[in-house]
Amino acid sequence: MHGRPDHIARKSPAHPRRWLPVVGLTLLMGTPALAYEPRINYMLQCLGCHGPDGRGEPGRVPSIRSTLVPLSRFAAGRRYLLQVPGVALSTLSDQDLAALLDWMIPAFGGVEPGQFRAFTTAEVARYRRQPLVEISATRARLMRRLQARQ
Amino acid sequence: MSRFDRWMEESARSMARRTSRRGVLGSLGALLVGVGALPLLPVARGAEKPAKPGKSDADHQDATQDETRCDYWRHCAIDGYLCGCCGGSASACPPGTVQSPVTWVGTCHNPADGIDYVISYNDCCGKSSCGRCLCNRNERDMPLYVPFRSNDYDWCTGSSVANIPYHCSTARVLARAT
Repeated sequence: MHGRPDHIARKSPAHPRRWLPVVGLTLLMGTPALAYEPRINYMLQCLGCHGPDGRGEPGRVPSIRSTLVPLSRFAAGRRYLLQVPGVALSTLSDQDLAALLDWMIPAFGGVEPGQFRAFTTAEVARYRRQPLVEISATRARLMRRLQARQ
Repeated sequence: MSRFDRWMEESARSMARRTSRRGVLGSLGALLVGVGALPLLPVARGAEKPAKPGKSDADHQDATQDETRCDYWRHCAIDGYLCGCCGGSASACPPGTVQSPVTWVGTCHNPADGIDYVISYNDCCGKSSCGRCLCNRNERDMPLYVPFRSNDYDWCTGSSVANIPYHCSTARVLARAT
């Protein structure tokens, strides 16, 4: 039976000053550059399921063409867009994720770049770390809300 | 007896007195081994140019152009039977199969032009497994619990258009990764 070892050698804690050069260099570098442009990040992170045009697969993968713009117009919808697992758990940074969403909305939603409220890095950072527990129920509630608005 | 015959007889007897059959065989064997071992001497090796590490030019050429090889550059993260060996190609499903619309996407480096490309690994479905050219390469592949970055899934399941069974996999170029 494998158990926890009785004696665990504790390493001496790293002195905080040792990390000062690293922290300083990171701050000096400022905002990290985007790994890929949003169009390529869509291919790498989303296209596999939602397809090249965002239509998904009826009954299995939701289309983002008709829902992205209306959901981005109210707070609960914006939270959902950032908390849905494919977005929240992606390997993209908060900045890359904000840039991707701000590219997707005009690309698939049929609106001009200035006609929607853009996502900010701070907004992405705040909401993607709050897990969405009841995904299907939340989506169904939001879809009813969208239908009521039409 | 002619003078020539006497000369031949004396020569043969003289050689028979000086040599033995085993001795001839031994000398011949030593000569063969010696000639074979000559290139192994350090002098011969020192005169040669050092071999370049890595693949030969022929292998490099195949890796960039032959779609039926596992080391073809587009197959850098494929997991399945290569459609190029199954009646299709790296970009198209074989006749009688349907391409799964759901897939996973990654990037591969093309050694011919030194550029990274976005590659879509679409499974071809609707016929039993091809069984030829099984290829499993896992560059930047993630475990199953990161589903959109894992190549271990069978994308023929869960598709309304292209249902099971799985036949083979393609590796389509979508764009230049910039």
